[in-house]
Formats: sequence, C-alpha cells, structure tokens
Amino acid sequence: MLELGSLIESNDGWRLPAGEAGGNGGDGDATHYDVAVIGGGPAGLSAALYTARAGLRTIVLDKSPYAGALGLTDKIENYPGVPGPVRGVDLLKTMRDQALSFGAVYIQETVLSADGRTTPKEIITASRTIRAERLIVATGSLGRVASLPGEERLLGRGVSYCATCDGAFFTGQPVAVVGENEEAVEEALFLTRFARKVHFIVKGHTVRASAELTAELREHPRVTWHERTRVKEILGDTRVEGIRILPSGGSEEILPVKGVFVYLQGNRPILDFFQGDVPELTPEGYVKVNEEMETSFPGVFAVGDLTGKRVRQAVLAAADGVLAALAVERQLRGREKIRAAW
Amino acid sequence: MRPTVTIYTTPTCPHCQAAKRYLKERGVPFRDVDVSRDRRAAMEMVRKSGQMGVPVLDIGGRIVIGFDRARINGLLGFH
Repeated sequence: MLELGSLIESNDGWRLPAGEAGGNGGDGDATHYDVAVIGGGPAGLSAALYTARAGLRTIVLDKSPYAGALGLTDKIENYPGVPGPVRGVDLLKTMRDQALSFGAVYIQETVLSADGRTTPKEIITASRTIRAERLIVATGSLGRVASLPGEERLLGRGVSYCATCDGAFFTGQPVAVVGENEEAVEEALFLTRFARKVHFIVKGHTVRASAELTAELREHPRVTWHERTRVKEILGDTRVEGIRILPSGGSEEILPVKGVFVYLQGNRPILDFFQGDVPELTPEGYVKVNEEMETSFPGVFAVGDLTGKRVRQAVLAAADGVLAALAVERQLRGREKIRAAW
Repeated sequence: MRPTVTIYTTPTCPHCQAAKRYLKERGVPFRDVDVSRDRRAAMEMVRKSGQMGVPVLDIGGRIVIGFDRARINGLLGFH
C-alpha cells in the first residue's frame, strides 16, 4: 500500500521559503506554520490529519469542540468505519487525536482576523499571531446574521456578542444572555463578575457545554435560568431597556435588562474573521471553490459546510478536507499534479 | 507623520488584545485606555463612538469600532 509517507521520503530537501524561518520578529508572539486550519470539525481535522502526516507543520485553531454541526450532534451511526452510536464530540475527539498523533498542533482559540490575500497568511487570535503558507478554512455554516427584533438596531447600545469585551459596561446592572452553546455558558459566567443579575435564556432545556460548566452556571446565585424560552424582541429606544421573552406554555414577559449578549447559531457560512474581505461566494452565499477546494484567494482553501453542499454530512466534509490537504501539499512541494496517494 | 493612536479597551477583551498586538507588531505607538477602570474615559469613548463596545480606536480623530484590520491599515497608511 502506497502511503503519503513515501512522498515525504521523496521530498527530503523541502524547506520553508527562504527568509521565513526567522520571521517571528524576535518577540516570540508569532509562529510560522506550513498550514493553518481554522475549524476543528470533520473537514478541518481531516485536512490536518493529511497535511501533518505529509510532514507539513500544521496548526488547527478551533473555537470549541462543541461549536460545530458535528459537535452538537448527539448520535452518529453512519460514519463509515466507526460503528455507532457515537456522540459527535466523541467522534471529533477520535479525529483530533488521530491528527495530533501525526504532529498537528491543536489550539482551542477563536480566530478574530485572517488575511487571505497575503502570503504567508496572517491569522490572529486573542493571544497569538500565526503565519502560515496555506490556509484551510473549515468553519462550517452555523453562522448567523442579526435576526432578533431590535438586535441590529441596538448593537453597541446594549446588545453585544462579547461579554469579555463589554461586560464591564454593565457593572451592577441586570443583563440577559441568549444562547445554548459553550460560548454562551462561559460568557454568562464571566458576566456574573459584573452584572447584578444574569438571565440565561435557552430555547430548549439544555445547553451544549460540559456538565461542570453548566452546573456552575445553573447554581450561580446571580443567574436565573429560563429554559424552553424564546426571545421575542430586544426593547429600547437608544439603549437596551429590556427583553421580551415567551416561555413555552407560558405568557410573554419583559425582563428589565440593560444588556443583551447573543450567542445563537444560524445556517450561514462563518467567515467573519475575514473582516469583510472574503473570497468569492456562490450566488447562494457559500464559498466558491475549484475542484481542489481552493478559493478565489490563492492559497486559501474552503472545505466542508462552508462550500454549501446539497447534503451536509460529516463524511463529505472530511473528504473535502483531504482534497484540500493534498492540494496544499502539492503546492508547497512544488509539484504540478496531486500524486495519487492511498 | 503618523496620527496619534488611542485604543479604548477592557483587560479581558480578546479583540482588544488582538488589536493592541497588531499595532505593536507594526511598531505603532498608542495610548491604551482601560475603560473598565476609568469611568470618564468610558464616557469619552461612548461619546466619540456612539456605542458601548470595545475595542474602539481613535486614529488621529477618526474612530474605528472593533478590531477592523482594513480600516486600521487604511488610516495608518498600511497595505
């Protein structure tokens, strides 16, 4: 069986482009990789598995293992080779461990900015700047646009998406957190440091976060937990003055909050870190890619749900990641064609 | 001459840390104002930007809301 390992042997002389090895500016906060992958779902982890195994220095930046479409799936029985049922987060852990076993670096951090036009690509999180020769974007399609009545109008006027940024503005005030993911739970806990009262509003009856974190939030004396509750409107003229909610089977009520922190999911591609300078999109708003998964930005690849498949399946996302990885490997090693590797 | 840069931040804000590091890496001197400790500065920031979210950058009197790389580059003459 021919494995990618034979490609490594035939490319022993391969090095990073001249001048890049010492490109950390001497302050230690920049790190150079061959491949940076944004997103730790099946697409991103499969890409990382292949590039790491091909000997390319690979880093995966993942907001949260619980954040993506697979991470929030409870039961998977049809991922080939993995007899189920298995939880999405457990399947992801298997994938992550496999990529890590070949030397990929995994960091749980949110990417705040990525410049797709330059090479090396510059990727910025809160704590580090990473430069990578190639960028594989695998952030999925659970993004959203402001859609709650009042949300967009009051953004920056009490509506925020970042409690760690703006929590201090609400010292001693009542606030609401809307969401059901790990980020929502963490941010709500953070807000308890400042806010007099934190109303946590969940559409269902549970959140997708670790049991410890969830228990800490639910038991916090300044947190009121509103489950099976929908947000009808964020109220206020020039500032947030309240939030109108509808508990399941109950009647509408208004919580007199001064801040509303929103962490909801939608079904739009997550591309916010490009800060408006995004690669070409399809008419449907997904990322346009060629057959090697490369976007209109040379050296930037998009894989998985970002590309707007007709069916959203983990195995298809994983296959995308592999295609991108092989193309990246070919580009960085200067070959014209992808070598058959199996 | 480069414009004077002030950045309004809170200590725990990820976008603030990223924005400050972005400026530092490009050798841009700036004044860092922690609005969580300085109420007057917080009011000043709200007045300048019309909103209550950080980071806010004041680059020679032009206001940038959030860590907006393209706008920062534009106002500082970077490409």
